[in-house]
Amino acid sequence: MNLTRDDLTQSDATMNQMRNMVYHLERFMKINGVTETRDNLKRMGRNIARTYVKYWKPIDSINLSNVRDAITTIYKHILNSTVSIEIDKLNKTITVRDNDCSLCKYNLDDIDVAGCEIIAAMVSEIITLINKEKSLLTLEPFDILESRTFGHKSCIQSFKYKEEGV
Amino acid sequence: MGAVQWLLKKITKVFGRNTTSLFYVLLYREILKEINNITKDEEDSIVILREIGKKAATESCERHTTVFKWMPGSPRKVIEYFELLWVVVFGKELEEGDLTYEELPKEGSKYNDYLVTIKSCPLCAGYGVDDEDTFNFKKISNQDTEGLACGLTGMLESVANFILKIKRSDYRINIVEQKCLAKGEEHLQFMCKIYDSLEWKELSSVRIQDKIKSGVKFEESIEEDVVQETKLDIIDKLQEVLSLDKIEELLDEPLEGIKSKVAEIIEDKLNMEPEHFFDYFRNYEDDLLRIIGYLAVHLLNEYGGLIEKTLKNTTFAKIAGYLFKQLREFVLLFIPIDVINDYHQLLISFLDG
Repeated sequence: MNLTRDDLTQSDATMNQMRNMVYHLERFMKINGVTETRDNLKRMGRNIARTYVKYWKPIDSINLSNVRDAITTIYKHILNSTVSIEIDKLNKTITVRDNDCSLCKYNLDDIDVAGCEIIAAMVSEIITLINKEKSLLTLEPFDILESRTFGHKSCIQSFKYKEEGV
Repeated sequence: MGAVQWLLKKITKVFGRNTTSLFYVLLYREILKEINNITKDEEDSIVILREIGKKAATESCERHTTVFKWMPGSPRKVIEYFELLWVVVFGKELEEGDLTYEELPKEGSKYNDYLVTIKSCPLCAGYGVDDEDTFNFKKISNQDTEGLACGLTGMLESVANFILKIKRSDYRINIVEQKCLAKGEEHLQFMCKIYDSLEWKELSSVRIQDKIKSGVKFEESIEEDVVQETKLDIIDKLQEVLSLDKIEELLDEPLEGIKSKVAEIIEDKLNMEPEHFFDYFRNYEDDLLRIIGYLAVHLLNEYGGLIEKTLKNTTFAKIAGYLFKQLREFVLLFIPIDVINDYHQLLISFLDG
């Protein structure tokens, strides 16, 4: 019997070599003069999210009161990461700290864009897609504040959120 | 599958960083698409993804050299451990009966070719169903071009050859994806060919830049011919006698086999019948057990100085001493004396022949 993508949401794969592939892709982009590497990684993350939500989603709708749980579940289920989340209601930002980022592990001096740009774009796109046509909350990746790729102890991804109708 | 292979697969998974297989597969797909955005040529993209896979795997192997030192050094054995290679690379175990081998005789060659078939490929699972699966295999006209698993194939080849390199083997393995589900074929199939160093050098002399038509730049990886001679560490010394295949044989061997080997050694080295040898120890079985214990410690010291080196550290020595003392004092709390006596008798009757 052939495997389906549904089956793949129930099993694990090891990222060690795939993580390296992301950075070799970045190097390949660089030597071929690609300047919009960050945008490309974000596009990859959005595309992953668009396929992924067809097979799994954490909840049917997400608002500011359950966004923390939703983000925690996404990181846990998809990336097997336990994250800490801070919500800044004043600046409408969400900050996620991941001490064990699946796409960043080693300090790489020749790399300018952290692999977790992919993750930030994927997470925000999943939330936006879940809330599509519901006018609740949209999320956008804002910045990678820290990354293990740049020698930091953990990866910190920040998002801007927008509450519809507010 | 042997017990040690099973254990090593579990260890590999424990040390790996896991995500869901679907995230892995979709990220892999996106990498291929991004490469294709640069090359604008599907056949070139496949070649480059394979090379990126090779580089990624080599980098990973170089960071975890010790794990691979336990693998067997014969190319045939490495192919027989293909399932383990798959777990090292992909981290996902294959279903029972998913993998089959076929040995293809090769005239005039030391090693045959191998055809490895995997019924259900996770990378191809559901490929083409979703709108984002935009890499189009129909645009590939060259029948020899690999399929979606080309990157994975590159990784597998690199891991296999990394093992052979650190085991100082003169042979290398070329793994090529021959059939791909995403290309409409019935299963995933790899052709594994074993080459000697001269043939391998010739095969690897073709530059990637010469294989691709689109003119994109690719930084070629240079394979070192010789493993740098470095000081042998404990693992190096141990793995000479305890590589994975040898441990596997030892564990799979029935007690009778081990007994006959012991008998052979006694006959060969001491020129005595085993029963005569053990007669010397009649009524001194406890002493014999102690001797076996000393011999075990001596052997561990011979092959890498494991115990001596560990106990040189005062903290480890204290911990070992404490554990030994506690074990002696508390063993009877956890294991009944009858069970200990049973094992004692079993060992003595085994030694008695």
